[in-house]
Amino acid sequence: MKYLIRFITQTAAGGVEQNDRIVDAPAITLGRATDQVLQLKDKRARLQHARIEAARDGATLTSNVRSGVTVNGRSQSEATLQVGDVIEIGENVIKVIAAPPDVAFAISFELSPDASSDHVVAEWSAPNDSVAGWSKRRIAWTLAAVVLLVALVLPGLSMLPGGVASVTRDSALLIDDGYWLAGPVHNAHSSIADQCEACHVDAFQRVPDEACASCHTVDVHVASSDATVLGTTRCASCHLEHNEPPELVNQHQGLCADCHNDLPDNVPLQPAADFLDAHPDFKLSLLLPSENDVGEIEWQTEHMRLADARTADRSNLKFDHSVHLVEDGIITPDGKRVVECAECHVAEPGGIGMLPVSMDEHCSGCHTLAFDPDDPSRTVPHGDSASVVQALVEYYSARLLGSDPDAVDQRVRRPGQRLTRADRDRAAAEAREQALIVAEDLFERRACVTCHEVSRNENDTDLPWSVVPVRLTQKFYPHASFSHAAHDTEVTSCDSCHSASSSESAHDVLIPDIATCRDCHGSAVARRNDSDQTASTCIMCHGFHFEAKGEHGVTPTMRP
Amino acid sequence: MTFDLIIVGGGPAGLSAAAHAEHLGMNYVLLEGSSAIANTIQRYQKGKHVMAEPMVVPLRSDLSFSAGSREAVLDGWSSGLGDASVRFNAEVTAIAGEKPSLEVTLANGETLSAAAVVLAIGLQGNPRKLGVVGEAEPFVQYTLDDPDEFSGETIVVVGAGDAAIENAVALSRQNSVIIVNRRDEFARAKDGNLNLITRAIDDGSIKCFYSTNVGSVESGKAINLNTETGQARVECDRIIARLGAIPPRGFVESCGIEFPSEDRNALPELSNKYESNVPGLHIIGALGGYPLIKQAMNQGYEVVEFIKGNEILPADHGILEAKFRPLPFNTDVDATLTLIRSRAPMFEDINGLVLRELVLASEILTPKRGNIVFRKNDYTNTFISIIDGQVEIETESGTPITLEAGQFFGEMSLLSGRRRSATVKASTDCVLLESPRREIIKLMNTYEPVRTSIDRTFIVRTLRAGLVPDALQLELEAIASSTEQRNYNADEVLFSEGDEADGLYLIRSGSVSVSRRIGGRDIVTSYVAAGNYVGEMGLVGQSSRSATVKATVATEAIFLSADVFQTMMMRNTGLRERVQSTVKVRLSENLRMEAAPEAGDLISFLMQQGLGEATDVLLIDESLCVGCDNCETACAETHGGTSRLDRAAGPSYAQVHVPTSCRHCEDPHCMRDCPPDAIRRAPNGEVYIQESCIGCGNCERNCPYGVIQMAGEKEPAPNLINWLLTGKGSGPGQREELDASGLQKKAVKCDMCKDLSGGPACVRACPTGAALRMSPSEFVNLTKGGS
Amino acid sequence: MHESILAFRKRRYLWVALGVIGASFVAYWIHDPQEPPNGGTWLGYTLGVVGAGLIVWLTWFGVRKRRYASTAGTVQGWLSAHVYLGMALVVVSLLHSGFQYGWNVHTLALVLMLVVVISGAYGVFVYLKYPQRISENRGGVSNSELLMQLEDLDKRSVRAARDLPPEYAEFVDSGIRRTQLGATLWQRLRNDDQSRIVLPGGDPAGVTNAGQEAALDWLAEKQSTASDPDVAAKIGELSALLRNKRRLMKQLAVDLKLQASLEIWLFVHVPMTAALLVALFAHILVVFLYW
Repeated sequence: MKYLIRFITQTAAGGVEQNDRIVDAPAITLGRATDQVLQLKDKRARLQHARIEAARDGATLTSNVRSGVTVNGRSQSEATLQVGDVIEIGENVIKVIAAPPDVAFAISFELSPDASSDHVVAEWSAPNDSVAGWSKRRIAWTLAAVVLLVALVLPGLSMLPGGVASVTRDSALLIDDGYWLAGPVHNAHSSIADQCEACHVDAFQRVPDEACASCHTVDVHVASSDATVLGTTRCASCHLEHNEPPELVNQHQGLCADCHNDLPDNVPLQPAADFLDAHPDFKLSLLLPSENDVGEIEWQTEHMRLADARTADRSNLKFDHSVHLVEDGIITPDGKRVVECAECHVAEPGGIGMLPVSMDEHCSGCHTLAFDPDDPSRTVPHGDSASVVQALVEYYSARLLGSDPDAVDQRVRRPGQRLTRADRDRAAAEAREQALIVAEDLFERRACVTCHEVSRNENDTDLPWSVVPVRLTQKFYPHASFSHAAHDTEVTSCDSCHSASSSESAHDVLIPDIATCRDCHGSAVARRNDSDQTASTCIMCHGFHFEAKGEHGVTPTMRP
Repeated sequence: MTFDLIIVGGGPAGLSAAAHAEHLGMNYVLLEGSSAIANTIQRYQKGKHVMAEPMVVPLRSDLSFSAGSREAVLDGWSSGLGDASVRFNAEVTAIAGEKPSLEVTLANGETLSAAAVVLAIGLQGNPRKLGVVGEAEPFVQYTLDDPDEFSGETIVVVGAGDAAIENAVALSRQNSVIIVNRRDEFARAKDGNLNLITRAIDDGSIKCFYSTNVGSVESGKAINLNTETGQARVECDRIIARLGAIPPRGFVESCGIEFPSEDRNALPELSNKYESNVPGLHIIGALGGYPLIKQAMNQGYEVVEFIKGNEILPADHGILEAKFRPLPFNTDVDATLTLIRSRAPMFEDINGLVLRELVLASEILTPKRGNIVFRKNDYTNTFISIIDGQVEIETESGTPITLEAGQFFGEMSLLSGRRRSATVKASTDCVLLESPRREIIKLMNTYEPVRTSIDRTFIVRTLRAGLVPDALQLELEAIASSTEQRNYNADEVLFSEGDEADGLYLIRSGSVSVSRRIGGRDIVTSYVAAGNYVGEMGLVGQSSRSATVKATVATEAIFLSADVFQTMMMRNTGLRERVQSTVKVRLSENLRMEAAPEAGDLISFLMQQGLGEATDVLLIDESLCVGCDNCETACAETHGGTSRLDRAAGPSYAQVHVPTSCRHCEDPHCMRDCPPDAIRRAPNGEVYIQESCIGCGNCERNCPYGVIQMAGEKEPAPNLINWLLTGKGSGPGQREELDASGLQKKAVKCDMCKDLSGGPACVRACPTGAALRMSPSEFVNLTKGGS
Repeated sequence: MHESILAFRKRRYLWVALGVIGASFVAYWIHDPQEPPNGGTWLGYTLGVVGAGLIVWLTWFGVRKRRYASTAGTVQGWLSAHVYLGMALVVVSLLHSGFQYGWNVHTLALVLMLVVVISGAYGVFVYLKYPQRISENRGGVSNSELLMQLEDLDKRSVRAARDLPPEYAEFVDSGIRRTQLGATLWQRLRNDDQSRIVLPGGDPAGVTNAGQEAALDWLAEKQSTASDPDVAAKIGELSALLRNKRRLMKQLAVDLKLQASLEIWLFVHVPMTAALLVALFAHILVVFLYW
């Protein structure tokens, strides 16, 4: 089949050039592919876009591109063509023209002149496109530089010698090495909080003990055995700063438990791994009297378990808490009233322990040492028994030998006449006799004997009584860091730990046992296995560092 | 004047002959029609690399020659010639007589006589002159070395052939060009060039005078034209006339030399002493069928020796000997050649030298019993003839086809360009001759018998493979001879639904799509590739076509008329069943496609994109593609800075995007005419361009998919880390082209990264997995799978 | 037939990432340091090293992506891993910090890291969602083809204006010259049509012509007052073309917006990564500077 294609070119001048080309092909194929009869240099055209096939009964256009061809303004994919029809594919305009005799079908192909189409419509932006003229690389470098400056260089200035630090740290504007702090500084160190170099002596070196030593003395040195425990004896390996919450003392259970869990046989200690389930019963430090060969009493501390049968308070004091703590009160000089523990047991300043109970302050209110019902204000001193007798003798002598009108001796004698020696001796003896009677009453029946053991020695006529000396144990757990104040809460009262009201004997040791503590104090990991008990690590009660002697409990102290 | 020897033609062959004659002190003369030696090579672009193929053959000549730039080669020769007696501008118009005295007549009427004449005029022929007054003016030239040599000139190009068009287009880059066409169209030009020139004329970059003859050339740099409308005088700086050449055949025949066939590619009959049927008249070089420079030079040397009466072995003797050494029988070269000829009936009547040439280009295989010659789906397309022994071709039906000595195989891939359709195994120890595709194609063009026997065999085997495995050879050959070949362009219909079923189509090459009209529109139900058949349904049961079959690409089919088929069915029980089973498959397929018509649309869309002839195509899933162009960049960076694919370009349908990238066609358009045969197909199917590309641009023009481009060398890539940090130098994929002065642009295309381990860079570089490469059958299945 | 980065190889790298996260958590749970958890415990250092390693490796993706000849896995695989392990990094680094924050370089690094990861997460989102929308909006036509259609419409309107009085040519021409859409990345994101046009006899600086409104109004007005019927017809033709242009511009605007969103996040992701690397360096240096 012969086809004619007339190429029409509009010259810039507006003229028209045309040149014809006869092709012999089954059909005019139109498309972008080079094997097309009429190649359309236009990306919108498919490789094979459409074909025009002439037949006896006229030509038909077919295209397998949906709405890819516009015929007379209507986009369609199939059409029969008449002379004068206008076919548009993309910007290509093809007109059907009258065919010369020897040709089956003819078209003209026009390439439109280029219009001015310099609009700004962005092409698909290239991957390296920039935002407001800033390429990624540029932004990156800038950010990097800023970070370098802020995070490293400016803070770093503070490390320069020559007191640069003082400037940077003081000024509000400049960034100092405070921004290098990994975490808060403990209050204890607040005074040197901003002076990194105080502890971090040299760069890339861990904080040395000397740094600590410049303020702290550890007068008892860490025993070598610690090294095996911790692998180090550096202060800072346990006493870590810059953590949240700030905590200077290493509370970690493992610190003790790692060893005390399972001690070598040569160590005479029971295993202690955890307060709740692996802790021995408490050992008390009790002051105990014992008589030496000359018959004097010596006091020394003995350690014994609460459970131990021998464990008893041997202060030689007679005291019955239950009598004093009866609920409906007791009779006192100023009437009947309920006695509070705190009337006798007063906390030390700081609330750690209790001040010693004293006769004068706490007992004498009720337990007066008066001896003469006629003169109750007269009392004997408390303490040494000799001085008690002395006091009485003096009192009665004065009564018999004094010049007062109602003196004991009422025999008649001449005025201005003085007592004879015989009379004076008789009176003295009388007074002494009187004093001893009263003393006996005081010692053996009324006063001393209520609280003290009193012994009588007949051979010693002028001082037959002696009071067994009393010593009270002040700290039962001297090494435990225990604070009464810390335990004084809404829910606790004295007798939640000390069962005083029921104790009738002064032998009772009213110190609570471990079971009592465990009511509130749980295992070190209590918080993790969410029990409502207080997580209690060893360090809570025990100090870590060893004493030269090898007992626990000495902590570093501040230099004056 | 009388000579011992007259050499006609100053090309490589002639020069070499002359040089040797000089060396032997013979009384000879070399006649060259033009004013310079080797004008074919003079015509190459400036700086073009001249190859010294075939590498294996040693050079045997008194002239030096080695691969190198056109200039180097030419200088080498002209200096090598020294004072050899050469007469330029001595055009030979006739050669008469035979041994011992031949008469050579020159254009100027002078006649020379000689005992022997060596015809070394090549195939180019002499360029046609304008044939008008002033045709010899200094500013008139008949060749063009380097288009970029001129700029700002007004140049008139006369001619309408490819040479003229290529020159005109090349020149129009820097000059205002006027092309003068004697006819009213550029009919003689290749499609590619045709489009180039019409385009150039359309956009006004070239002005064209149609139906115009050259009147005369004025020495004052002007040309007078006789146009349709009348006279026109064009002042110009230069006239370049590319009027083609006078093909030598006419002249050669006038000398009494005979050709075996009318085919224009046919070669004259020659003895193995290069002597034609006219005693004393020898033919060497391209005219004798040896287009390669080195061969031509060797023949120049050899022919002189022969004429002197010396018996020398041809230069390739040693190579052949080496080739034949593994053979079990006597290794005398000539004996073996005659043996090969006698064993392969197909080669019976081909010229001895051509056979020698073929054998030289071929490989001798000696597989032991049981060895595989090639496997099914290999991508080789060589053609293999059995010299000795037996091979068997495996078939689906299980009973292998046995081939004897004298038969050949591999023609399927040869013709269809597809993968091997079956595995071939040596059933005894064999001697096989494996010939490259282009050699056989050349042969098929020259020798009709070769073509027919190959075609027949193809048909027979296709029938065997597909339909009648157990039919008799004779019967099938009978059928084969009664078939006809039909060729279709892309989109052409083989037959449409409802037509009367008149026969069966074996697809020889290309591929077709089968579509049915469902719910008022055509829905593609399947895609049939070369080596299979369509139209069988109409032949069993229904008498009318149940579907429309359309060529997806240019397709060759072999038509088997209905009655032939019927007789075949009568003779072969089981054929009916076999066909019916295929029919069943097709029917069920149809049903599935009716269920999912969009899949059919997708297939037909893909077919429209020419994927029918693809073997491996890059598809992009638009629902994943973020348009980062990493695929392009990867391609560029792994291939010297030039990307071979254009992601954004190309159409999309149903989220499937077909970017502009090579599909590695079954029968690649780009391979069609590549002067240095630089475009090759690798065993795995990659179509790639070798270094030997001369940058002629044919492939670029021939590729309908626009995936080949001419690219110069790019600047070296900067160190990546440096670039990332500083941005100095060009980023990946943005490398600038080095200024191409002296550097020849070469064609570049996708090579599927065959030299990179790990497969195509574009796919490996896709961050989102949107890019995939697959073969048509793969994506057809995928679309049917409904993914 | 195609596989998204998240689905890559049966989510191989999701499992890897979960592994990393799980391991970190378990370690953090078991680990019982002598001080509050922080970067200085052995676990802290370990997680720190892992984290830093991850950051450097994740950054390396930028290089691997451009090592086109590299055969170390596919870029898709790398991206898949990049995404999942990037997420894992958050967990690792938070555990490394022991949830201690403050106004310091260390937290700065952490914050920058989070910014990078979050921007990356957004990136994943757009990468998975937008391509679909883009191709739906385009309807099988590429961006450059849309632009060509626009060019084409312009050419046609020029042609259409030829047969009308000269001011129409100027009118059309000025409309084309002042057509502006997404000139900068910002404009694309805000997809606003910045076109202007000079109406004959109007302000020579031009009036805004977003959506071709001004132009169409002017034409409508002209058409209604046109006395000669076929002039009116011609005007109608012209305004039809402009209506097409409006539709096309809308389509383009959407396209550009989506395109821009596909890229804009990288302007946070990449530079922040650079900042992060420096901050990371500072963090590590400082930690040991004041050890």
